[in-house]
Amino acid sequence: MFQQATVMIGQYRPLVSFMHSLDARAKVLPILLVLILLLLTNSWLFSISMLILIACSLYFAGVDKKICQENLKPILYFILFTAGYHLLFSGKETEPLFRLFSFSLYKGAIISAGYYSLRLVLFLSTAFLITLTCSPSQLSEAITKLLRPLKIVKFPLSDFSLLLFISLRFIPILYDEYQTVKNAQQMRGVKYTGSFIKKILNLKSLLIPLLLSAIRRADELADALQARGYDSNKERTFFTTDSFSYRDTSFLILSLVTISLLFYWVG
Amino acid sequence: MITNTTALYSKIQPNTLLAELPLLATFNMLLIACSYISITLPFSPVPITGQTFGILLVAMALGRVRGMAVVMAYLLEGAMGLPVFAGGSAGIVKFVGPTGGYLVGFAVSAYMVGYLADKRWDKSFAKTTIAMVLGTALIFVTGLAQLSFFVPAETLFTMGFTPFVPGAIVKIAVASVILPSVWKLVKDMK
Repeated sequence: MFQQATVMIGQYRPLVSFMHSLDARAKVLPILLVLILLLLTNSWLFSISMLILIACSLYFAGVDKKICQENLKPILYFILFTAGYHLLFSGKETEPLFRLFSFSLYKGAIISAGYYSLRLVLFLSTAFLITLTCSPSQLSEAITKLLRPLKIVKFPLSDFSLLLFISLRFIPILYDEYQTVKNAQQMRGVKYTGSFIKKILNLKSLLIPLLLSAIRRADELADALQARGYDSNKERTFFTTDSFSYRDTSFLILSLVTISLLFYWVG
Repeated sequence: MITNTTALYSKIQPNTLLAELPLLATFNMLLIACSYISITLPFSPVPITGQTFGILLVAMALGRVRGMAVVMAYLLEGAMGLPVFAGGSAGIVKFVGPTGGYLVGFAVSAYMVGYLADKRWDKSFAKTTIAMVLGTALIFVTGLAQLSFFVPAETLFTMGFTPFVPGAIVKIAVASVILPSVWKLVKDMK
C-alpha cells in the first residue's frame, strides 16, 4: 500500500556526483519549468529532448541501471495500462492500420499510446531525479528558502517547513510500521486476501493500529521537540549550510536557458 | 492557539502549536500515503484515488481548523512539486488542469467535514457516514465544475462522476467504520 510512497520519497542515494553537489534550489527550479512546459505543449520533439536531458542528468548523478529499474518497476504496469487503453480506445477518427476480427488498430491510437506513456515516464522521472539527488532535508530546506517571500502575507513558513520535514522523514517509518502491523495481524490469523468485502473489513484491523501508533509517535516527537527547546518562531538554521555558489548559479541559468530555448524552437 | 475543538483531536490535544505540529505532520503523511493508492480508469482522465479517503479521515479526525491546515499544507506541497498527488504527480499546473477542481474541492470539503466533526458528528457511525457523504459530494461538485471546461457536457458524468461512485461508497464505508473505533481506542489510551 505504501510501497510506492517509500520508493518515491525516501529514495535518496548519498553519492558523490555533480548533480548531488548542486544546491537543491538549482535543481528544483529547472524541473519546475520542465513540468510546466510539458503541460503546455503537445510536441513530441520537446518531450523527447526533455527525456534526453533528464537521462543525461541521471547519468551525471551517478545513477546506475539497477536503481532506475528498481524505481521504474512499480510504475511500469501503470504505463502499460495507459498505453493499452490508448491502443484500444483512442484515435478512432484516424485511418485503421490493420483489422483483426472486430478489433482494429488505428494510427492515432499508436501515436497517443506512445505520447502518453512518454509523458508519464517524463513526469515520474523528473520527480525521481529530485528525490534521488536531494535528501529530504535539502529539499525541505530549498522549499523553505524559495517560499520566503510568502512571509509578507503572514504565511506560517517555519511551521510549514517543519511539518513538511517531519512528513518526508517519517514516511519510510510509517511504511515499516505498516509492515510490522500487517505481519503481526497475519500471525494472529487475519487474512488480507479473499473476497472484496472481506478485504475491506480486514483493512480495519490494519488501519486502526497504524493510525494509533502514528498518533503515539507524533506525541513522542512533540515531547522530544519541546524537551530540546525547539521554537518554531525563531529563524530556522539548517544542519547543512551549503550556500548558493557560482556553480549553482551557472547551472541554474544554463539549464533554464536551454529548456526555454528548446521550448521556443520545438515546443 | 486554536482551542475549543471537540473532534477526535481534542482527546490528544497538546497545548502549543509546536506540540501540535508532529501530529499534523503525521496526518499529512497519512494523506500522502493514501494518495499513492491510485487506480487509473480506462475511460476517464480522473483516477480513483485514496486521496478523498485521506481527506475525509484527516478532516474528521482533526476538525475544521487543523484539518483544513493539513489539507492546505498537502496542496501546497503538491503545488511546489513534491510528488504527493495521486500516482506521484505534482506541480502547480495540476490546479488548472482537468482534475484541478477536485483538488480545490479537497480544501472545501475538509473545512465542511471538519466543521461537522467539531460538532461531534464523528462519534457515531451514522453521523460520520452522513458527514462523509456530504464531503464527497462537495468534492464532486467542484471537481465536475472544473472538469466541464475540459470534456464535452454529455460525457461529463460518465467521466467524472459515475465511475467513482462505487469507489466513493467503499471509501466512505471504510472511513466511517474506522473513525468511531479510533475514538474509542483513543479514549482508552488516555
